[in-house]
Amino acid sequence: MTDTLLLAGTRKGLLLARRRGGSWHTEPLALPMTAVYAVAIDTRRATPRLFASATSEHWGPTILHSDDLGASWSEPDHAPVAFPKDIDAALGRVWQIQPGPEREPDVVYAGTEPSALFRSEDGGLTYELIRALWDHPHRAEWGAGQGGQAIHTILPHPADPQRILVAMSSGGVYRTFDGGESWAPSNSGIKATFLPEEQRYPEFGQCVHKVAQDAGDPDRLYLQNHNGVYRSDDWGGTWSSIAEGLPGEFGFPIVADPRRAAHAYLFPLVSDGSRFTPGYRFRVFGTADAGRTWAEVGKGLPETDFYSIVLRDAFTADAADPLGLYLGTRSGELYAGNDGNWQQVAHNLPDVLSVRAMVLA
Amino acid sequence: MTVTLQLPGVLAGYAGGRREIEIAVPDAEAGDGAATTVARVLDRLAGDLPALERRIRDERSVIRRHVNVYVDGADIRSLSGAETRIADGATIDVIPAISGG
Repeated sequence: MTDTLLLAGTRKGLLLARRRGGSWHTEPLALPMTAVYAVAIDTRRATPRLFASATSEHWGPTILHSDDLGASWSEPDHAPVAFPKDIDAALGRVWQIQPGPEREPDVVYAGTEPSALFRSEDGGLTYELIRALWDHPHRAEWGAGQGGQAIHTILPHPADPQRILVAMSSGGVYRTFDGGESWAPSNSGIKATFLPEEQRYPEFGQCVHKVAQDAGDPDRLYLQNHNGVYRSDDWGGTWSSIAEGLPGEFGFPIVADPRRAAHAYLFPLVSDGSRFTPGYRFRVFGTADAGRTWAEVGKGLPETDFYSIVLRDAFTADAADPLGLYLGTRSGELYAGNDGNWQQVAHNLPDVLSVRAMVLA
Repeated sequence: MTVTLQLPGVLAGYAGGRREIEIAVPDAEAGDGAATTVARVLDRLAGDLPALERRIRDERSVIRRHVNVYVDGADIRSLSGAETRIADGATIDVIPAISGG
């Protein structure tokens, strides 16, 4: 079994866990009393850089980074992410930190609440607003989900740095083909079940919960919607339902295997009106054929009386062979597993908001 | 003129470990009668200790919702907010409000 570093952002701090020789060891909660909505691991550097978005109820938001695998955390004196003075907006929190493509090793993106996209060109230390998306005429009509109005998904195209796809709740999917100079919605085929029947396929406004990119084909995407699971084979140009075979089409996270094409995973809930797992069993579902069929993944998760959920960024995969999956719950349990068995890494944590993992050399 | 800023322990790390710092506001920045305002003091703080100031105010220079600021014992929300006038030698207290769970 591979050695692994696991970052779990919670509502009241950051947990680091390490698996060595098959056993998990957790460290005391770092960044206490901050909600860590986003964590990220930039493996493009000689020494991986870890990121944590930490928001204090009192003292506001920031992004910290670590170049020593979590032994210490740093931040610039000036706010790493902030709206420019000429814009009457203040950062609520950073919901997503996403390293850019391989050929742009110093580029890192941040998605925020309120819905905005920021770009760093210094390895994720300081960020600047991408104005064209902020100035988009649709912005006034973007709504807010339960958690707030935020860009929570950023997918830089791995082969073309000019192409970036983002998703927000609510507002839906937007993409650029010119490095962020212009943006257009890309939600064709995604249903908005919260609208009247005749208005349920709008140009934008969908409550997309998460999007993931296929390992074999960067133009193939998987999407967990607020009711609905979809696939696109043309980088978001059109979307088709792949929910058949799932026990529920509501949910928050969706994860693609970073090594194997056509493999994706999610955590189905019954519906938006019943946000529980089917049968109150804790089950991960996976596909090995790009969503044509789905099956339960692994054994060892709670079989009964499970009333919690997994939030959109609290589920991730590593790049190991065999694959490692990691997820955290709102009730503070952290699990690691795969097609074989699941193992509890930690429990009694605050609500788990974000999880990322990397294989340790 | 000089005012004293008192900080909760959780913010001391952003002020070199100090719970109390003196902030000098040049007379040229002070208003009538050598008085200044909370906002001007925090503007000075932004120049000297930006990592501290951004925890008290957001990027619009608005004092954060769950931060209480007192001038000589009076909550500035009951006075003139960030425009509350401050005399030479005054004490500003920054205190976390009731929040969170």
